[in-house]
Amino acid sequence: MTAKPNAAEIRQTIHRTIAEIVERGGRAAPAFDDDDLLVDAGLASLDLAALVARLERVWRVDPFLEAVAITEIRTVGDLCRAYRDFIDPA
Amino acid sequence: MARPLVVISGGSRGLGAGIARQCLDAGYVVAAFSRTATAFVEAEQQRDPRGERFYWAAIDGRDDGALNRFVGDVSDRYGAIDALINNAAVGRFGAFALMRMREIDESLAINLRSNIVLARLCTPAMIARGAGAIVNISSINAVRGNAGVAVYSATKAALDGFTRALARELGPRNIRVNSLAPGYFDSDMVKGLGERQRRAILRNTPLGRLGTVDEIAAAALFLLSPAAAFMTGQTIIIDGGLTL
Repeated sequence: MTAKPNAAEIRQTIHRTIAEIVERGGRAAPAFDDDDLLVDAGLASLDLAALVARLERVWRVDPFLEAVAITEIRTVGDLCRAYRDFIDPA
Repeated sequence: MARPLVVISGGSRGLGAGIARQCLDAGYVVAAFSRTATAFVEAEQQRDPRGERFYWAAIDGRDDGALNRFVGDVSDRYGAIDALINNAAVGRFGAFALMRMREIDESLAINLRSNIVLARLCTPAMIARGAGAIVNISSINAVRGNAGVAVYSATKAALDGFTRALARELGPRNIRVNSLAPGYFDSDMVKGLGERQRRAILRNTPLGRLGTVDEIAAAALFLLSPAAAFMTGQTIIIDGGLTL
């Protein structure tokens, strides 16, 4: 990881990447917020794997390899928190 | 167009080296690892000192952190991983009732767990890219019972189950997963056979001979290639007809 992103940057990157992945799948990205379930944001389970892979390219981390169970992540906000806590545990 | 990149576990000797050689000949960039370097690795590194087509690292597949760093390094250096050959394995043979716990653990860790972990590390990028091919090197011992190979057989049969489940899970993302189950071919594992065992194998093999590394490697390359674009979840037996 080069520069440590702050919480707002993490959230912005995750929201943008979700929309890109949904649109890349030929669907229109629905409007979503942190409280929305990932599935309601348009992500299927393998889309989530693609999202994690793309975020790993950005931040060089994969919280789900060891630290966090993906089953604990239900909402967009859960995902943002998982990355925020992993990147900056303080 | 960029050359496709294949990762090969245990890619320094025997079948792994044979597959690496054929992948290089077919135009792939090969990223391989194994615990120790071999004459094959040294020759390829001399041929390609800048590592443009061949990359090798000394890694014990039981070290998750080292595997993770290897996949990251390879991706940074060459870009997306297009294909994976899960070839790493050890053969710990002998009477099951006398097998040491350490040998059981080593077989499970290298033949099964390390290959599953490597696939776990390589598949997210394949999913993100929407393409990929994985070949798990199994064995005819996964589909037939033979004395003296119980743990080895268990690890290879587990890899076949892994292949089928993963093929179903990743097929919708255009990632194919197949197993290749070689019979007896000219390898270190076969060198350990006694003359009587060797004669019995030849007698029971319709084609009347052992296979060669090149023949098995060619089948692996086929499974990676566009010629196998409609094949997934299969275990391909290549054994001269021994298991018929």
